[in-house]
Amino acid sequence: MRTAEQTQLHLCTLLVALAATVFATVASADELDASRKHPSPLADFGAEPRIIVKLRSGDTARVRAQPARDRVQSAASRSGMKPKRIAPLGARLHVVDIELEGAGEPIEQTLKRLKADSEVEYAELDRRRYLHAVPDDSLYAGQWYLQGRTVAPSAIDAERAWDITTGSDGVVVAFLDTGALYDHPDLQSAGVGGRLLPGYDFISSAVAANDGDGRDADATDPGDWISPGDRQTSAFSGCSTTSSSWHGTRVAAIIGARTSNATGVAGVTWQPWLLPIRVIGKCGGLDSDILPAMLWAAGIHVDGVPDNPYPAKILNMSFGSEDSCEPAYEDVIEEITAHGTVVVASAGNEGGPVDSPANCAGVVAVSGLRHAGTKVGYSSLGPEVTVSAPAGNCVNTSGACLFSIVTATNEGTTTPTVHSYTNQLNYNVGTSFSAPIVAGIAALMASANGNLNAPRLIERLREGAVKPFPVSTDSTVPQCHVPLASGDVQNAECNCTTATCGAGMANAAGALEAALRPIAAVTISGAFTLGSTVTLSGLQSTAVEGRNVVAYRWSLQCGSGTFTAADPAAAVVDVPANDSFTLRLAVTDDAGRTDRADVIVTPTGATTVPGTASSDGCASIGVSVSPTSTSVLPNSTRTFTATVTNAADQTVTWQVDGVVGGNSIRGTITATGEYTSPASVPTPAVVTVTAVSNQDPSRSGSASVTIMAVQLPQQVTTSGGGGGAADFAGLLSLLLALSCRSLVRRRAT
Amino acid sequence: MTSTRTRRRRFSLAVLLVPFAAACALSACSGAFETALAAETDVCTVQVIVRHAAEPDGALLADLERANALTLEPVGVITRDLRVYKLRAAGTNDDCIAAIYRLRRDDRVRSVDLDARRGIHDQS
Repeated sequence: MRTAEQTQLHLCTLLVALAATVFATVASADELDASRKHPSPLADFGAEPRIIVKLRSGDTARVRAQPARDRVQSAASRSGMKPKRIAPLGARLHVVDIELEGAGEPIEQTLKRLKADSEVEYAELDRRRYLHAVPDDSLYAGQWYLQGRTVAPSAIDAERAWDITTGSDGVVVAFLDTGALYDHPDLQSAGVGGRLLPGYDFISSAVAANDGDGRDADATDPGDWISPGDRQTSAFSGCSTTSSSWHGTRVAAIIGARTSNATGVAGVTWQPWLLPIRVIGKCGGLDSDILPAMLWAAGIHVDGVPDNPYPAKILNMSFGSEDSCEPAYEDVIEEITAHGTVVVASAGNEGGPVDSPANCAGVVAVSGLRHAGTKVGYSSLGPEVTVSAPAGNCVNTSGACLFSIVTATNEGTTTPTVHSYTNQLNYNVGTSFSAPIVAGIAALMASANGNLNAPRLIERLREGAVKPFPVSTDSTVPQCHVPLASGDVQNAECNCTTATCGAGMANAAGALEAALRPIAAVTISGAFTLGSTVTLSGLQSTAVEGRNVVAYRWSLQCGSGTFTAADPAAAVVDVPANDSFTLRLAVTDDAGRTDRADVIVTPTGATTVPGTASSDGCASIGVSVSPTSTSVLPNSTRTFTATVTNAADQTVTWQVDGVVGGNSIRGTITATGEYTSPASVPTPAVVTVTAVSNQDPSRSGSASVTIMAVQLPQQVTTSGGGGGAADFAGLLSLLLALSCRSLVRRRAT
Repeated sequence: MTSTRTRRRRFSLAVLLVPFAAACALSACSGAFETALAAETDVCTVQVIVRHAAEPDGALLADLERANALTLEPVGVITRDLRVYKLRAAGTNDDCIAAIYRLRRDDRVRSVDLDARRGIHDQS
């Protein structure tokens, strides 16, 4: 354990070292960030650019008679260009070296005229292309999951993303885990030029922490092994014998190993800081340690712990258990999301419903893909999943594991010994490793666009995902289905759907392209009274750093209403007497990227909703219910929330299995969404809670509720005598059904 | 001295343990065995996370304990109104679960959950 003085000294030393490192990083940023080395396309040729022109196919006698070269010459001249050299690239495709005639006219203007010429199919500047940013780490070739989709369909295209950014050192990624090995050569402490910030150890139990004390400021992983002797003690009697996992180190190196250092592996990110927070010790971790650690990671004060000087933008949690999302998690996640932190969590390895906390609303839940893009057998799945990512699969049932997720680890079976890396024999698979891949992508997004709040970052992560999911060439592979209950296990490969594996396959390049788009935002001013006007302004819209919003366009999307565009960024709207209408703001930045926001104007007010990239015309009303699935005991309550989008009237009517308000057999639900389960388990045990839009009763959202007979009191301890065999009867089936299942592991193929 | 009732209980326990032990041998769930044994008791303890409707003080805790026939030993503070306790009740595991039900229904409490153990999602 460190003393307070040692901690302060360490922090001071670290701050000095950080300052030096930040200075050095800023100084060397141009070398590290490949995108900054790319000059403007015009810089390639100066005042004599080169253009590639394709002519339209000629079907008239005149056109057929005229040589293509002459047709290019004529079109170029008509556009104000003076061709110096015309060389054929194909029958109708030519490259033209030009001299600009219009003094001072931008090439884009001249090119625009050429493109508009009736003889020209297309014309583009001849652009210089650059090698993708490929790291020189010695094991990079084996990191198939970072490479292009030609290497493996589920690979995340990191090289194209790194052309845009390798991340910013202004972003901190926290990982709640077993801690980290600070002296692993591919991680190392930030104080000596590495990636790891000091972090914190939140494990209260000294025996579980395995470092001689409870909470302290040292996030080093001392090992989490369980020996046969440990299992004789009350603390670990229910645990399995296991070697140390070095799980936190494996997760950390996936998010951000030191990259392009000619050693080991590359991380998804190259620059952001990594913040290790210990919550998992011997035999797992408790919610009572995890929840305050989540708050601390986000920079929120926790009693008894010094405040976190490095609040995290991204928080990775590669753990969980089969459970509904507990209210305590809901509260904490809501709080840290509002604080700006994005929570990423792994779906689980049971092949069943998504574990808690990944199944909580607002969390980026990540399920696991095989290299081919189908769901890997062990991965849990369901509607709570945000996106999927490679989790590692072996293909072979023995021998080398072909698609392991290569990462840093240690050879020690108890305490750390030799630092090393996983490989095809000492392989590394699990949704534990798909989550940090996505956490890394999220960190790249936050680096590229600091204006993205948590919900918008998640929305654009989905937008950038590759879709549709690939379908196995093996026709016997079934389509994945939404698990109906915890016992509904799909532990073999299946073809993903958006209902089971999220919006698509996480893709770093696609996510960054989405992140770079501007953010359309509308502010509303004025009083909503009949006959009055209100002003909608788009001036709060933002572009990424270095770009500006240059165009605002207002249009009536839905319904009938009147407005005038007062200035480019504002619209003055007549308050409607009866019906509502939807106005859309589309913004464009100086790179040509766009975003849009819809404003629903009613007689009494206006609400803004992000315009979806694909939607045109009237956006239809959407209703979603959170949580989307849960389990409850008989005669207990669970509160659901309904979110209504694209509607002026946001109220809903609640039903249970189609009955408004429910009944005593299937459970009841109040007008505010509080569901009370029936006194005994109904048949079937799964009921559907539905929220129906009051504005449009044809629109609704649903959640499934499983009513369970008994809750497993996993950590109930007892003292004294008495009790009876009856307690056993209830426990036996549950223990067999639940406790054992997670202990039986299959090799992922 | 062992009573007849206790001997009967042990016999029924042994009968129940036969299929349990067989199933464990097949599925390697030895950890569950000790958990099950601990059920034969008259005071149960379970660590819970309680979301109070308002920040709790000593008087509120005392009243919650009295009204719901349980004891709450403070273990930790997560936020102002989110607290960790060791909940104790007279009886067996079922009685602890019943105590949690009672506490959940108390207007001064927004939620009660077991302090659950989470495991890493490593399949290697």
